Amino acid sequence: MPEPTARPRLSLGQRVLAAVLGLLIVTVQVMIAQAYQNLGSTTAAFGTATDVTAGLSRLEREILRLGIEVERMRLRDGFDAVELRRSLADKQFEVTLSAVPVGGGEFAALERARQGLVTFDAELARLKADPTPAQLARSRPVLTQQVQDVETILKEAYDASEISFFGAIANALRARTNLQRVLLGASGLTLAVALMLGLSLRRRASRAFARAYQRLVAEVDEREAAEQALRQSEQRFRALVHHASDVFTVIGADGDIRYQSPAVEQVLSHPAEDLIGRPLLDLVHPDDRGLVQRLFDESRRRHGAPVVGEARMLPRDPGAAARRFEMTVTDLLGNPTVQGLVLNYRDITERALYEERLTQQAFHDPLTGLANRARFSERLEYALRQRGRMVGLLFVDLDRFKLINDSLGHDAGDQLLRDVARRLAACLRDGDTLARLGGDEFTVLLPQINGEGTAVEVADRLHAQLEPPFELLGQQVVVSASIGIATGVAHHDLPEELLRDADAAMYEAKARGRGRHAVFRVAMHTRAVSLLAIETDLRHAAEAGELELHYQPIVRLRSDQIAGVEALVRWRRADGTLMLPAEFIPVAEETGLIHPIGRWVLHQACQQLASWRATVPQAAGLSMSVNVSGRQLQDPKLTADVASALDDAGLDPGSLILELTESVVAIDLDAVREMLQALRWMSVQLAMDDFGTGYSSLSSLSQLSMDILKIDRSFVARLDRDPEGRAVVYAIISLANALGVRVTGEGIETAEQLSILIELGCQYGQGFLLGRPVPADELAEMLRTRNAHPATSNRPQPRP
Amino acid sequence: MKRTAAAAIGAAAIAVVVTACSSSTPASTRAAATTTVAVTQRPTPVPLPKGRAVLKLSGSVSNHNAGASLAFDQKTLDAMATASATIYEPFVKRDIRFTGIPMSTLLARAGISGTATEVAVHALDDYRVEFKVADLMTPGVLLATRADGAVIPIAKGGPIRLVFPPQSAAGKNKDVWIWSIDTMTVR
Repeated sequence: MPEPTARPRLSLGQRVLAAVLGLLIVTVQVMIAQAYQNLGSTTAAFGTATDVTAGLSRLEREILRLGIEVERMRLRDGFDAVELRRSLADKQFEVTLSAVPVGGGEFAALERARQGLVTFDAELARLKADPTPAQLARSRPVLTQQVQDVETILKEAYDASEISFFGAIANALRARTNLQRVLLGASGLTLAVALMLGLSLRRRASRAFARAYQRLVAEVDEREAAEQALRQSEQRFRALVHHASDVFTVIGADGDIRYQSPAVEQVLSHPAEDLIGRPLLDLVHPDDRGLVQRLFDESRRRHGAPVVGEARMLPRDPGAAARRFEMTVTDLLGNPTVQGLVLNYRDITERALYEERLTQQAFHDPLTGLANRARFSERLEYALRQRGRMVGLLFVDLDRFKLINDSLGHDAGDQLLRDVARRLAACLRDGDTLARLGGDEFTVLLPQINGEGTAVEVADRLHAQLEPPFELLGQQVVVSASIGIATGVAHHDLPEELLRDADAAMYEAKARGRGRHAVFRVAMHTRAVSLLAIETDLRHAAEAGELELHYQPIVRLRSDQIAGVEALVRWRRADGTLMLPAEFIPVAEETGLIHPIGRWVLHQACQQLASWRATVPQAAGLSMSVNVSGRQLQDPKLTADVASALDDAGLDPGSLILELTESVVAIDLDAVREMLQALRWMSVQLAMDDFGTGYSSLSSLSQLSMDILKIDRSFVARLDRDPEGRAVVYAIISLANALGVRVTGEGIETAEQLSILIELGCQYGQGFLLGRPVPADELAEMLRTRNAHPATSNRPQPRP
Repeated sequence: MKRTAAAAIGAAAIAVVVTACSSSTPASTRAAATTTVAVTQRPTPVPLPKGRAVLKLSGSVSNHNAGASLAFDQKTLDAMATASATIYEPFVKRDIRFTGIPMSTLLARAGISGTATEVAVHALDDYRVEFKVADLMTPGVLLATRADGAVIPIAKGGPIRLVFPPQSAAGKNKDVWIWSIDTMTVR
């Protein structure tokens, strides 16, 4: 709101009135001056008239006296008195004539009177020349007559003068009256204008006053409202301080408590009033007193800027645990209303506990209680910062854990992971760190080793620890692990590189067979990197037509004729590299890509067999072997897929042999038995692949109603090296024969192996010696040459 | 309104100046001193008039030469007429050089009483004016015996008359300009 100006601005009307008033006042002054001047001239005229009249009057008197002296005149006394009066009259004539205004009517009369006295003088001179009674008697009447004539003239002049005198007065008075009337009018008008202006100003002033009064009232209201708001805000603040869970304390410069908010009773059980006057440090945990004192000092240095810290404080009950508080200290010693340090503290005990738990969670694997990846990375980083240290890193991956998880359920899987964790932990030293990175991946950090050998020893111990079977859901389960070992030097190797190297080594160990370990070598790195790319590319492989089937002949050993072929999938990647099933099938199994790939392989193989039968006469009795993975076996749609593949190709089910890996079947017999039975009902033949490497016993073979048993290449490889290997193979073949199961020897690479197998009674064989896996056209060629004379019955007989 | 105020202030200022000019007359102090001297000294005797006495003083005067009055003849007065001044004569309305006796000198010569306050002056034509003594004591007030160097005839207001200097308060009134004086009575 603008402040009213000290000097009120006049409105237009008021300004006009003021101007008129000023003009009037000036006019009146001018008129008064005029009137005064008029008065002066009037007075002058009046004075002249008076002078003339008075002069005439005195002149008359002198003439009268002259007449009297003429009457009294005696010869004896001389004529002195007459002459004196005559002189005096003359003087009076002079004075009166001087008073008459030039051109005045009296002047002529006075001149005439004076002329009359000239005659009088002449007569008087005659008498003086002849002072005789006779002359006196003659002269006296003449002189008297002369005096009377003059008297008459003077009387007339006096009358005329008197008339003009009164006329002048009357005129002056009349003029004065007129002027006064005008003056009166002007004055009246001035008064009226002044009155109007005054009223107007007064109305204006009263309006201004009313406005000022209203403003005053408004200001008072505002101030009252502000005070009210302040009171309310104070009340709110008090209520806040009183009811807040935060504790407020004001301490003096001496550290004693001056004010204490009641909330302290809730958190520390001290009644607020008991604390007044006590040193605040008494409430602080002894170990934290120095810290709090430093907090105070800091706040004093900061002058009003709040300082925050944490401290433990003691509850009233000496047995109770100290509570943790977050404390804010503000120095308000300089503030006259406070004059103290203001402490605001709140109980963060619960929060601190929660934070601890969060930290625990953040750094620990909730399932096993081991360190998690974050914790492990931290430890690894720390270890690699210690100068001169050699660090060992073991990457432990359980073999076939996926299968256990899938077949026995996640709970069993989790239980197994917990048990494995316990066993692994048991064989580590204090400074070592065991962590679970996720899934079935464990890592071991050996922060200080003397050399690679130490890490290998640890790996051996770990293998040994896992050897005894685990008890899961009442079953004995044998678990092995593949361990990758990497070593690094502090200040040289990066944590993530070390972990990656150990990972690569682990893959290498897996590739070498289960339950092995491998130490990282640089060559592994590139391979590990390429493995990572497999999964992504594999997703598109089937659609992109990058998958192809190669066929390896299965030969009837005695006739050397091709009895069947095993379809082996190959992945010709976009960059031209050809990948073997061992390199990508595990990935396909883990990702579920095995289903579409398996389906494609089934169809493709059946189509190919049908095609050969149609085009190559020697292919008439040929059988087709297709590998089926554990995951596929668990898929209820497998039977439907097999049926459609056979139907599409127009093949009889007996032509198709499904090869199952032994370990897959052995894990959960009950789960797969139904599927195997269904396949058997379809008249599809079943073969047990890689026999001898897994857990299944020879006795389980009969339960599985297998048609063919394929002896693992590792046994065949030993045939020409030691007699023991030969005995094992012989036992297998004898047993198979007894059970009515055909036997195929895998991985035959030398002629010696071949002859021994024939000798031992093995009917079928497979291997580089007998034929490498080749594309379809090459195999057709092979058929034409090898089977030039088709055998009468090279087709395996279905079991009765 | 402002203009009026200014006018009023101006008028007041003018009034002050006028008053200051008219009141500051150091001559009055001198006149008083002269009066004191006249009163304390013993007046010089005036010779008896030879022939007709032109002026007679009577009343509270200590110097006498004719009974209780002091009479002057033309010759004595002429001898005393040592002062002269050119004065505007308001009746004939022109400047005339008058020669005469300062009234203070005359009254001192007459031995006027210290308590006297008035002087009644009488003329041959029986005109009379009463003066305060102080007015007549004003310097420059003359009892004129000559006008423009010549004896003044009765027809011109002679033989003696009173003239007043322009600054005198008494002379402002024309009616006190008495001529053809014959007696003075001090009271």
